[in-house]
Amino acid sequence: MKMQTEQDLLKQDQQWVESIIEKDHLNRFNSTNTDAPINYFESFPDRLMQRIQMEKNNHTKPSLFKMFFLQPYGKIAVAATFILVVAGTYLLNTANKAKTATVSIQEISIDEMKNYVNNNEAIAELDFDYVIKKESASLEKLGESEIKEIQKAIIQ
Amino acid sequence: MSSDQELIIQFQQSIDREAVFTQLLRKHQQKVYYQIKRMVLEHADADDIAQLVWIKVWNKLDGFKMESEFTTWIFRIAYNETLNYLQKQKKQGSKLSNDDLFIYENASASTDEPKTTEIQIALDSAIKQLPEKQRIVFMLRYFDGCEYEKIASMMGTTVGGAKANFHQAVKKIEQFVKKL
Repeated sequence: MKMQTEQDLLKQDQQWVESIIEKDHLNRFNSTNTDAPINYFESFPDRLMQRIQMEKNNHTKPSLFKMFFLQPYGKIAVAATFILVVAGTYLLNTANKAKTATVSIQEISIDEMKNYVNNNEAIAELDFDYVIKKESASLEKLGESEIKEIQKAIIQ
Repeated sequence: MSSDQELIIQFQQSIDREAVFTQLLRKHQQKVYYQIKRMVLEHADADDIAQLVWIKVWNKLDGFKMESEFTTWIFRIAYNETLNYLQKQKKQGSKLSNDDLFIYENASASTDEPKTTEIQIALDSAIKQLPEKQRIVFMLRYFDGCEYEKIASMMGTTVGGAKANFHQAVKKIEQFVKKL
């Protein structure tokens, strides 16, 4: 039933077109636009298969870059490099921190302190002399008004 | 001859793929070519597009689930490829309309069977000047006798849309011919 209706509709549409333009003209139009060069369809499959084969070959020859990254060892190499960089950076940072780490005075034993003072006594005295000299030198440079201000401050 | 379905299953099972594909190709190449040719009208263009269509079929046939007929599927690919091709051509400039004008002017000047030639040329120009969708629907409906449902699924549109395109196409051709 449905097929019949479809066929009727198709006929109606075709008749409508033919009422506008003669069927001969329509057929002539159709025949001029549904022709192909001689032997075109005989040679087409071979030409097409050659082209498909060419495209296949192009796809199977990836670039060196792709080859490297598509291979498992390439991926492993990239992962290993990444891990090395991260681990190296972490180790360097922790080493630097260890070098500059401050130690609280409570953590140093008295023996260690004594040893340090004994070993560095001369240097400590030298440093102390240097500070005294430096401070007295800068005091000499002070003007009278500045000295008075200091005296006032001391009295207060 | 094996049915499309059998050939597709063989292809998907990788049983002598090239031979199976060539069988499918030989069976349907003419219909596909003519469908494209009616849309683009030039052999060189139709040949280019036909190759693109069959390459796409080769690449996608593994994933074809046979939910629709093979012919509907391939005509849909052909339709989409042709539209892409025409859009690219439009960007490069409308070569087609200038050619039509040249043919029409020459034909009008000829004295042999003036009315017949004039009508023929007018019909050619009228159909060529239709928007692609209308032209394709007109061709499929009038010349191929396709049902609207099939046209709709081939073009990825609705039955109503296909009907509207056909009616608009016929109206435009009528207007064009009436001017003579």
